[in-house]
Amino acid sequence: MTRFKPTFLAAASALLAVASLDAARPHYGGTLRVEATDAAAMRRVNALAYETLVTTDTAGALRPVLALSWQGEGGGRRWTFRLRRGVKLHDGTTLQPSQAAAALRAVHADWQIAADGDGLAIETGRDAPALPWELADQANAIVMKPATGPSIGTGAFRVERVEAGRIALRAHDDYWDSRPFLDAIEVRTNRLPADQLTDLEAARADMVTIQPTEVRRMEQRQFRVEASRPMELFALVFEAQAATAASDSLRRTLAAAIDRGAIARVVLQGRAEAADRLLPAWVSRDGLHEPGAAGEPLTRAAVAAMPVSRRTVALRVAAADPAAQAVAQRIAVNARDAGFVVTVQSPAGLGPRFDARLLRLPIRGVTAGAALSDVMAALGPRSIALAARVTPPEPGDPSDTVLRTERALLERAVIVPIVHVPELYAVSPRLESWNGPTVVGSGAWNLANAWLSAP
Amino acid sequence: MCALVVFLASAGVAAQALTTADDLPPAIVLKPLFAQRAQLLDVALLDRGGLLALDRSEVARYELAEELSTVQTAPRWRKLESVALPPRAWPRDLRGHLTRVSGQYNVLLPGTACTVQLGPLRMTCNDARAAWAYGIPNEGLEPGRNYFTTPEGLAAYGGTSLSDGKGALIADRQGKLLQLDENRRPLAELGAGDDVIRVPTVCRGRADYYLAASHGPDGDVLRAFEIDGGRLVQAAPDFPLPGLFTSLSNVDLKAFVITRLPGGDRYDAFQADISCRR
Repeated sequence: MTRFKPTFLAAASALLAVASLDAARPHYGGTLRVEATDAAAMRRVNALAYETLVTTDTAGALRPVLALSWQGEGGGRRWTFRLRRGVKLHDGTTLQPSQAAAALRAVHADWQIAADGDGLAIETGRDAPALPWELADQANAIVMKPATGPSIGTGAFRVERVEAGRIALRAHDDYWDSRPFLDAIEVRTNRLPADQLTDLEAARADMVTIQPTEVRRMEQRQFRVEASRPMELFALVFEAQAATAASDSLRRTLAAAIDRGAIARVVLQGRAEAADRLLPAWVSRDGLHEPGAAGEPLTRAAVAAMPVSRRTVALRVAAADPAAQAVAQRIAVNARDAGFVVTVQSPAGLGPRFDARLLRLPIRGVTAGAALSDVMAALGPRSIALAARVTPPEPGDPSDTVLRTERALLERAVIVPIVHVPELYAVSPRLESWNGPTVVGSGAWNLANAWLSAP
Repeated sequence: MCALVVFLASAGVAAQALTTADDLPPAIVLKPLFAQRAQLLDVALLDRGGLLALDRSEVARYELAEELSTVQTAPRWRKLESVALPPRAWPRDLRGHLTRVSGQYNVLLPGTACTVQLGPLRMTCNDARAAWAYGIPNEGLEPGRNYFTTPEGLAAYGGTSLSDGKGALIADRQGKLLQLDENRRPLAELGAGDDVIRVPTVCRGRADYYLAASHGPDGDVLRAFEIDGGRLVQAAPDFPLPGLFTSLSNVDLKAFVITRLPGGDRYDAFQADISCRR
């Protein structure tokens, strides 16, 4: 009789014993250790604990969370949301519509919000056809503040403890959408990027934030890289002395000289998208290609013929941001090719006078209006005033209104978009996901579906 | 539905001249049976050509749509009726099994046991921890979890007693396949394993084989074992699964394996068998 005799025939084969023993089945238990750089991490942590009525998917379509259905009347002046029944709060009680109404009133004191049977009725006092999209923003999460201890909500994890630079989360056993696999999450915030990488490599962390310039190195070391859709804009922003009408053509020429494709592809290792607008395509959704600034750029000879003082640009970049410094150096190379004299400065403290800054502007809003409003808030009133006389759009403004504001801001090339970049994370191979990526398109951490394989 | 009717893994050994069918080593055979988008937990083939499907929300009865099924394609099914599972806070990785005892179909879920009556389909459920048919004493899955615990305290995803009555085989919570002795103490480690069942198949004079699902560096696989001198030895080459392993079950002496696509939006059920005829 012919037997099947593979090399691993022996019963307790040593070969098999050293083979990969990762389980296909999700493993319950364990504490996930996350490290992050800044306050952006707090938004992700909050989303794990506090849920909104609705959310949006990667295509921008609404999806139910605490609300099962919704309906608008009167041009969006009044909306009703039917709430999911039996949703348990972190303290074990059941979420009541009156509590959800009170939580939203705490954020929107000017709205009329009333519990209505098993739902909510919301009147904003204005036409708000995009109200459900506004409510998908984490700022509108249902959060309740007990007399003592951390705030409670309905999310997959509850906040157990908040200390300086550390947040401890525990699994919400009664979570309406099934208990998470992890028992706990420990988040360390305000960690220096270098310290995060060291902790990941020394197995002291399972998930850390990284910059696009570190992607290749992380992948070479067998860490998985997870990315959101573009959530940040790198942009040049000129100072008052370089934002005069007389230098409009010079700024436009400099803006046109920047090889955004090479910056996205080479400097940022393919983890960025060239930007000629403030808002990335996923949020603007109007499909229009709008050049950043009108007018023909000057030739190299025309620029070179100008006095050096006019064509010199001192570019300021944050000292603790190697990715921005790499982008700035590439901009300098492009600008020199176009006849400019560019110096990049990254002083740790006060530095010499500068003509432009390379800024990183977060893109948070779910609607185009909210996103542009966020970008304008990050730019600050001084830079906005130099660029154009515009006011921030409302979250529910129609796309053509938002587009007009965006076009006006870019018209004089006082603000020059360079690239859109995602939020990036390096993840330990022991962190696995039951369903979907660990970081979803919106940047949210899909940690209810995450599990840790056996060490 | 998959177009290929039978997947078959041959033993990668050198062919020998004048080899007869009985001389061939056994092979794992998978036949595509059923597919759907909802999270599929288990299936059972009914008498007279029907199919019972257990998913996250319901038990459904299907009949074979003969006019749509050909020998070249997997069977096509027409849904006849369904009955909803009781509303519970199920685990995220919900596991459930269909069993048949004395002609009666049962549904076993974590902390819940149901009896199913056919024609018309009805289901009666009780909140009770009922033992799952592992051949090892157990009280069913731990509440809210995807594993059970043996009386000795071993946590396992699945297991089966050995047909020689001398021990058991379990897939422990670390994803290892362990052979246990008569006192259910670990006897040998057999590599990776996430679930295991006994498959009654007469092949080369042996009455039983053991099918284990495991996660490997190149994807999930099925592995077949047989008893040789009291020890379990691998009987056939690894069989690569066409998706992520989800469930392995044995209903009414028929073995079924369920896989899912990585995105989680399609679940496929296959009938699994050990064959020494090709």
